[in-house]
Amino acid sequence: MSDVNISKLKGIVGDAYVIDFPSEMAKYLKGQGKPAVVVLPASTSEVSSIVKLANEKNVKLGVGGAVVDTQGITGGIAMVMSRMNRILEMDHLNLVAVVEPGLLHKEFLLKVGEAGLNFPPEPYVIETSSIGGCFAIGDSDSKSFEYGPTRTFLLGFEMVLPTGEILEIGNKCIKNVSGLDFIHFAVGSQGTFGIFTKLLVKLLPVPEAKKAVIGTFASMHKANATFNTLIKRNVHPTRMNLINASLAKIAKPGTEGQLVIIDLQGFKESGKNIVNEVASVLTLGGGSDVKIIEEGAEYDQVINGWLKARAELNAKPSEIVEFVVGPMKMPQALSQLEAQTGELGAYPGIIVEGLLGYVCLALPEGTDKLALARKVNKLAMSLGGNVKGLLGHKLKAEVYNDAEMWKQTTSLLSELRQQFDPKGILNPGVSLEA
Amino acid sequence: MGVLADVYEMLNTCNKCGGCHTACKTYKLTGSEEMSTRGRIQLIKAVADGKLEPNEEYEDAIMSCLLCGECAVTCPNGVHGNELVMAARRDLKLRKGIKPFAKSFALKTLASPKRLGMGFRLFGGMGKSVLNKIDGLDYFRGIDIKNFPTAKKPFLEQVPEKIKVQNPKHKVGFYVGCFLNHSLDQTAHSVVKVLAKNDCEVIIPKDQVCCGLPQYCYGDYETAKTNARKTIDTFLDKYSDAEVVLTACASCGSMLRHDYLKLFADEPSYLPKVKLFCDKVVEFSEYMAKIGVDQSKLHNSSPLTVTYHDPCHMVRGLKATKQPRELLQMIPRVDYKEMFEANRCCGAAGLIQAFYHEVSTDITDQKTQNIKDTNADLVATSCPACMLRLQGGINKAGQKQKVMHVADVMANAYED
Amino acid sequence: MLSQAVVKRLKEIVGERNVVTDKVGLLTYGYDGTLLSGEALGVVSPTTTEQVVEIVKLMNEQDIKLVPRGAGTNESGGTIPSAKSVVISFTKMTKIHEIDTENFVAVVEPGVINFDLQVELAKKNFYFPPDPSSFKASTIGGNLGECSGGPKCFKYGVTRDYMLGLEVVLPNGKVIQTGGRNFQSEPGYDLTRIIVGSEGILGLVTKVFVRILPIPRAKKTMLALYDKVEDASQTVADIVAAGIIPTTLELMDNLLINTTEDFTHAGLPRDAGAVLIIEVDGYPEDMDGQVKTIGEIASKIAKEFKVAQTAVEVDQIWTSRRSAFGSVARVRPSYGVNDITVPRSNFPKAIGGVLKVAKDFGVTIGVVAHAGDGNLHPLILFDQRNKEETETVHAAEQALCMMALDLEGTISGEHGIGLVKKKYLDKEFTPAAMEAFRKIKRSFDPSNRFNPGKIIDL
Ligand SMILES: Cc1cc2nc3c(=O)[nH]c(=O)nc-3n(C[C@H](O)[C@H](O)[C@H](O)COP(=O)(O)OP(=O)(O)OC[C@H]3O[C@@H](n4cnc5c(N)ncnc54)[C@H](O)[C@@H]3O)c2cc1C
Ligand SMILES: Cc1cc2nc3c(=O)[nH]c(=O)nc-3n(C[C@H](O)[C@H](O)[C@H](O)COP(=O)(O)OP(=O)(O)OC[C@H]3O[C@@H](n4cnc5c(N)ncnc54)[C@H](O)[C@@H]3O)c2cc1C
Ligand code: SF4
Ligand code: SF4
Repeated sequence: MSDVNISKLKGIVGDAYVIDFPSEMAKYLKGQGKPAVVVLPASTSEVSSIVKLANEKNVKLGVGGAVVDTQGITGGIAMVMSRMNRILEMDHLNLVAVVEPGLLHKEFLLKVGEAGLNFPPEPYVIETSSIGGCFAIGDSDSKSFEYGPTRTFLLGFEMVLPTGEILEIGNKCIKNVSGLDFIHFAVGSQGTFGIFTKLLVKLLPVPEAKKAVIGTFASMHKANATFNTLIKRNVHPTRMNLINASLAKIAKPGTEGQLVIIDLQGFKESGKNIVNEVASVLTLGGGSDVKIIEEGAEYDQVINGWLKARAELNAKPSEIVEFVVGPMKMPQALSQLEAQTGELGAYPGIIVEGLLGYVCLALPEGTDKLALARKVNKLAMSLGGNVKGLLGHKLKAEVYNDAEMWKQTTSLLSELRQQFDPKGILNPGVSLEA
Repeated sequence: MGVLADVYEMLNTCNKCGGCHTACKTYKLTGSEEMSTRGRIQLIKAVADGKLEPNEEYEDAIMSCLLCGECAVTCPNGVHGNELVMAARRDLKLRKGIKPFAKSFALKTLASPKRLGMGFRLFGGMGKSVLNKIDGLDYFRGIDIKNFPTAKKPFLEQVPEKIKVQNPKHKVGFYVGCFLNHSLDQTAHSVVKVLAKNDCEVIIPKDQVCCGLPQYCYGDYETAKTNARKTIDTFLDKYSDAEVVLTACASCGSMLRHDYLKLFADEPSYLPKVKLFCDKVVEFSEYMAKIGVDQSKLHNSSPLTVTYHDPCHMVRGLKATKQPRELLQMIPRVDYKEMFEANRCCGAAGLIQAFYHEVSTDITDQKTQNIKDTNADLVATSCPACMLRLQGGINKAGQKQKVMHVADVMANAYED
Repeated sequence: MLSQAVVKRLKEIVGERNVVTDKVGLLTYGYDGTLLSGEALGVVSPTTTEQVVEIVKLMNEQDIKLVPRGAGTNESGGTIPSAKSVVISFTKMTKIHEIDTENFVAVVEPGVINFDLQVELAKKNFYFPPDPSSFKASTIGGNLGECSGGPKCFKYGVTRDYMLGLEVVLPNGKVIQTGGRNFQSEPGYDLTRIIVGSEGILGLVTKVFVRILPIPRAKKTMLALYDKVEDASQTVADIVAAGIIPTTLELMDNLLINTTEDFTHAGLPRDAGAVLIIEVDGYPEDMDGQVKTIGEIASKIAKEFKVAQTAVEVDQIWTSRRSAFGSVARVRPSYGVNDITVPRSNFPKAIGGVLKVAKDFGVTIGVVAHAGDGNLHPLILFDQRNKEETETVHAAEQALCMMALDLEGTISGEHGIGLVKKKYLDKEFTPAAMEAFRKIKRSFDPSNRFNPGKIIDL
């Protein structure tokens, strides 16, 4: 039973782009929910009409780039943005692009690269992530120390609000404090404030040089110790990442041990010295197969391997725990963590982003996520960090024994959501309660 | 509104940019806008515009200014906050006389040599005998009463009018000033000794009076003028053979050389004489650097780490910063260390230390810390008020450094 | 007038000395960097978060508005007291709780002056990249309130990019923490970001976790001199096109060269039409190549290009640049400063637009610009005492804003909206966007308690 008016939908986007046979719908969906229909709009006005339609009957609507998360939209509409995948403008003078949200993140990277420019944010899940999703999630990644997190790269957008109204905001200026900063506030709103239909994205000149150093280590601790050495030596590469043994095989088939990937972008002249410095630090720190990579194809392979390992964890958010501590506190964090998890190398997946003091753990099957997160959060807090995200805030409030603060935070968040989406139509699966 | 009308253009030039916030110690330490240069200026402007009747809070804002002049060198618009405050004080005086306590306690005392001697003695003596008995009152408003030095006899009564040397190359008139006369007579002796060692005959007029700076600062231009006229006439008429009028007090120096001109700006007939006088005024370090010191005569047996504090009137008044440092470094085995913010006010600031002691105590504490950070054994400076303030602060903090005038440091380096 | 009872309560909360209700006190908290002024009912200066909470509760009880204030150097009228309000001044919350260089974070109270933080950081060879020209006076709370920029934005971004987490007292008197002490985005609504730049209308910030960076190993400062402002803007475009990201691309026109010279005597040629200050930083090995490329680009048009050789020289150049706003009162006593920003490619057009406005309205305009960011500061010089002239200036200001919007720019690149630019806001934003702002304000502050009337009306 559904209130979705299929024929009206067809009237909006055309018959071919309204799919309601479950077997055909499947490739556009993930998760347990059962939406009544998948719809693929081609323009902002179509998106707007669809949302207005959903509004009339109070139908829930989920959005995705190529694939829609079905949580909370049983009987509702799954909106797939993949037809809105054009790059509308590539402006070299201002270093900006105007792009539609359904374009896959990886495709966008390709086009930007061809234009001789650089878009630093990493795709979450290489194969499916869209550029709209990139900003809807709005995370940081292992390059953020140098380039800033994803939000840094959004200058404006067009959005269809939960009421169907169209909102445009932003401009090509890299400095803009006019009004309240809704532009960056919308980053990370996961489609709850509205559906991006156009994005005005900031780009950078392509780095003059790219080099990497990789090495493998018998233990996570030894590998991680080299990061501290580098930071102490005032070397801050673009990426400084570590993948545990079980996951390393995905990043670089055949790897035995924990894999360290140091990425150096820019640093045209200095890079020559820095790669050597990095390589010796890795070698002296007990790394084997330490290799300096300067050749383009091989470099790309290393980075893609990294992204693959990342995607592995990103794709199953319910089975990971993420935390941050100060970068220099990481050795303590890892040893204390080991007490919880057992040998780190054997754990299903562990990623360390050294410059950010970030750790992502893929949990073994059957783990009580919340219980582990609680322990990890205590550990992180003792080192000046916390479990990442809303969950972290909740757990922090628990530790402070400050239920009031947590209540205030969530009630503020739901008030905001309520203001924008009073009927609770958009992405109802997204939870603000952690 | 005469006085304020004269400075109105400058008042109006302040565009409230806040650039002076960083300069103004009274703001930095209190975080109160009315204690900032910008705040003071806007208040003075409000009074000038008739939007504010001067009241007690206004007087506090105006009287708590250290007149350190930092704001004047910091303001990108060339607004001189200290001068505007001076105008406001003058305006206050014209309106209703000065704050009663300031008037009775200090200004009158300073104006008359006799009373001044009494004042110093009373203050010092009382500190030692009476206040000493009260626990915790060693520091009255941040002033080190216990150790406040008082000359047994004014310096002027201890020395002859002329101090002769064997081969006089120069003739120097010595303007002693209140502090050296009544309190730090030892420093005055040091000045004479160093001058004599460098072949200067020293002339010390016995009938010299207070330079008038304290009165001038609090808007009592009349008394200030009386004293100024007396000083000028004494040196130019009675002791015209003195090539220069030398002072070892930067504050007196700045008053004698710069402010006298302003004070007599409205007396064109007398002004040429004032100019003549002002041109003769020289500060101790300036003079020694100018005539050149024979380094070979300086001795010093043990290593000494020395730092230097720039008195406000030395750095921003007389604009002399190099000379004292050069002199100190001439002394053998002296390791000279610059302190952080050497040129910032020490908190003495005339009467401020007594009336707005919370502020000035904080300022001194910062200074004391900066001194400590240098690890110096000795702090040299060029103004007796700073010497007393600094030594008080150092003692209070339980530190060991000695504070001396540059002249004292040099005098010690000459064998008797 | 505040009732005796309220004054008494306030004094109980923050102590006798931290409550001001006399005329003198109120006058000095009634202005900011603009020409506006107002008078509050009182000024209260808390020293702890708990005191802030108590104040907010009391004000809620009494239905009195609160106007947060840092050093009051903003150029938007953002701290001008509204009717029936109490100013809450953060200048006495000046503790630097912690500087943790190993983990790139400092924890400070909002009243810490940007410069004081820089001094402490410099001792450890670190710095805090946002440094508005007013950094010697302005507070971290004020910087974040306006999301201030500064000369280094081109490479390093603005205040927003260095805020890791905040402690915020909400209008209902409750305290929340946003973000954290680590440099990781918080997925979900980024409350830190919406508070930054909100000019005190959403929450009172009582603790700030800021990101700090090691001072770059090497830095080169260059000067290029031009006959005309337009020429300088071409170099800017060329440098960016060459793929170089300097930390700084600052421009001053002839008028500003002269007023700052009067103050600093840095030796800038008084007859130059414009000067461009260019700075690059990074690893020493990378400097020469960049300086060379920039030199080649600049020399195509500039009449002179030079690289500063000594630290003193660099210092002088920066003193000049930093004193630019301040120094113009040497010409005329009042100035209206603007911070319009345009896409970089339209920068030359914007310069042309400014010159046209100056001509059309018959006003004197000096130009300083963060040229790399397309951010201009046309300074209109006048005398506020002349009513007619003042009217003309307001009209010229409006024309500048409209010009920026026509060039697809924004009316505010770094100073904020406050009261001064509120009237143009709906020219930049569609009704839907304006409504989005209101939704946000309503979510935080339904009773319009904090800094009412700034940016938007409810
Ligand atoms: C903090 C965080 C929380 C996560 N929570 C979940 C979760 O609860 N469930 C889950 O299955 N995965 C979740 N993920 C995983 C995440 O969805 C995927 O790893 C990643 O986004 C790629 O998925 P995708 O290919 O579906 O991306 P995309 O299709 O690009 O979508 C990613 C997100 O963006 C939204 N979105 C996409 N396009 C638009 C648009 N045009 N306008 C507005 N919003 C848009 C989607 O609704 C979705 O929330 C989370 C990831 C992170 C980093
Ligand atoms: C000479 C000069 C040069 C300048 N140069 C620059 C420049 O280069 N770049 C630039 O961006 N700006 C510049 N400015 C503008 C101004 O200095 C900045 O906006 C500065 O950040 C304001 O800081 P402040 O401490 O003075 O804040 P204030 O002016 O006191 O306040 C600014 C805003 O923040 C709010 N606020 C203050 N503290 C808090 C708090 N704790 N919680 C919540 N809200 C708070 C206030 O309500 C107000 O809306 C300049 C100004 C001048 C006068
Ligand atoms: S005195 Fe000068 S520095 Fe101070 S606010 Fe006024 S113009 Fe600015
Ligand atoms: S003279 Fe000194 S104390 Fe007085 S306003 Fe200027 S800086 Fe402040």
